[in-house]
Amino acid sequence: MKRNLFVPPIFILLSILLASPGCRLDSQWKHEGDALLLRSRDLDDQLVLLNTQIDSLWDTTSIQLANALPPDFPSIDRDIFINARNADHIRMFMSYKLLDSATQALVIQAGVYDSILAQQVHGLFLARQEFEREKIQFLGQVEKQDKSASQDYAEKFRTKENLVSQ
Amino acid sequence: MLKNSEQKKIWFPNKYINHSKQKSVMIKNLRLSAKLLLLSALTMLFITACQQEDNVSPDALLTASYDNEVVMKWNNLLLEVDRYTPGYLPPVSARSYAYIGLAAYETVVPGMPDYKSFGKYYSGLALPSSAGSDGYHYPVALNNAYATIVTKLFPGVPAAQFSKIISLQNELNAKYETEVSAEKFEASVAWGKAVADAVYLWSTSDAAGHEGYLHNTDPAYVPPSGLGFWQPTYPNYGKALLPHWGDVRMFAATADDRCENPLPYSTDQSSELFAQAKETENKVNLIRQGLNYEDKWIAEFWSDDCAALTFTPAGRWIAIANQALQSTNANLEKAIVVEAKVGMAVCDAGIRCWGEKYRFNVLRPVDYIRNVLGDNNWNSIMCPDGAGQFFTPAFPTYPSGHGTFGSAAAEVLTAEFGQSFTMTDNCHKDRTDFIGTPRTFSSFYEMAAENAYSRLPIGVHFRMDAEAATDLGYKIGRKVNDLPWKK
Repeated sequence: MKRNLFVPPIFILLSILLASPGCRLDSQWKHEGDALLLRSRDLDDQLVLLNTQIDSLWDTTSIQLANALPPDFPSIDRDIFINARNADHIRMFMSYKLLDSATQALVIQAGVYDSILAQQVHGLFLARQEFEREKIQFLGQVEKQDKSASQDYAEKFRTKENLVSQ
Repeated sequence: MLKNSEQKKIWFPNKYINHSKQKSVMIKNLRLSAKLLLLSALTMLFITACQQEDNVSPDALLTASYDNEVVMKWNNLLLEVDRYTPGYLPPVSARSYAYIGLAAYETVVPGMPDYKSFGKYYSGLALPSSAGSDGYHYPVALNNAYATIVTKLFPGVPAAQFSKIISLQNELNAKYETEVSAEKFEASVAWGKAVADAVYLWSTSDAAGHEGYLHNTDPAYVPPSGLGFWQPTYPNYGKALLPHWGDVRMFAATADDRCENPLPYSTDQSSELFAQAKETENKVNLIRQGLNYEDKWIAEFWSDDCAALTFTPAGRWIAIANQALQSTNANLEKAIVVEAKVGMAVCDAGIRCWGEKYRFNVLRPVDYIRNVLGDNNWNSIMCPDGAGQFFTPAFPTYPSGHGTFGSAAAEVLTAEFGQSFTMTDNCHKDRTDFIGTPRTFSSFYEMAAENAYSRLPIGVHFRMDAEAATDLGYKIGRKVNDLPWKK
């Protein structure tokens, strides 16, 4: 009888021991997964910021161009110049040569800034590629032990939800 | 789990023990069994508490099982990239479409049982080995192939369009990530990138075409002089564009794909060239007088080479292919084959057309009309700049680039969609800066013919340019169709 009293706790202990590796792994995933989710969000934020800068550059340039173009500037070209949002396109037009040097400098400067922003977008593109590689690797590791957990994380990456570490 | 031998020990104890002892052993065994069951149940409970239902959808599908969303979305973005990236003259842009189309095709061809890879057909094209037809999720592979090769072929893409490339890649990856296992997703991304890298690497071995966007002109090139030869034209007198493009590597055409000789140069009023110059002059003059609206509409509807306004004339046929694919609800396999064929067709069309342009070096109508017909103030009506200035493209007239691109593409589109294919081209339907009102056609040949003709009323070509171009284009299109696409 005495011996029997000890039997259930041993079984429970055994059960916990058997089950615990799954939970231990899950908490490991959680840490790494949350870190990746935060990085994902950070990369998204960087893209939003760059888009804002790009929009701001061309909004400002368009306004400045609209004010700088002479009143007798051809109306068709005026519309194209203001809406082009692209320095190379503006420079292709023969009427660009009719602009004063200050206005031409405005277009050239916008082109230079756009190139700088394009380089930053390129840097972000490369960072994103690296992040995707790590994320896919992470999802693959999770999937080897728990397919549905991997699917859950994929969904979290998609929706950017459950960022518990924020 | 207990092994069979252990189970036997429990349930079949020694038959020589007495009955009461046997009963006691049985009770013990029953208790033990109950405990084992409890252990199993608890174990399962703990394990399932850390897991969710395994509901991964099947992801081993052939290319034709998917819709064309990836192709449409990338091609629409590509048309914007084509429009805004500097240096992409029509033949340069066409070459990019060909390599992008080939990369896309090679990415998904493992999932196309009737089609085969060009890996062994094109010398120097070293493609990676595929994992077989069920190794990849093709939309994922394709999405990453596009992102890889587009950024490599358009390195000067402006910031806004580059940002859209990232957004599109992210959007599609995020969409498919939940539809496919992580293992297959990883394999698909790697496959798409590897194929795109291989195709891009092959493109760099084509010295004459590689980075063509950086070499639109050759400072050392001097056009031949003499009567009837092309020279830089009024009003901008731009340098000859892409004078060596005829040396670029082709996909299906060869240097033997040529035009008939152009009309001999003559200033005689009874000559055919004189008559054709008069025809172009009159068509433009009628439009200037506010007459012949149909010709004005045709001229502007097809004029895809105005800086800043639209994609290139080569891109126009990608846009037409997109519409045909959308209207027929084509699957991914069909979309990929069509886009690859159109890309190769316009690429080779540009190369052979430019090769012929600089072989014959025929002068433009603007020079003939001003110098021979004596209409000293005459100009084309192509691409108004508001200051009364209009352009003539800075390269020889014969044959027409527009006409060659269009008829090469029309030939492959006809092979894919049939001789009778009614479609309304909505490419420019919302434009207000030129007449983009949609036009309806009953076949791709009809479209190609009108596209080639459109260069007369806009004032930049003779009729012979359009006719030679359509002949050359159809020939090139047939060669693209004859490539070993199928097994």
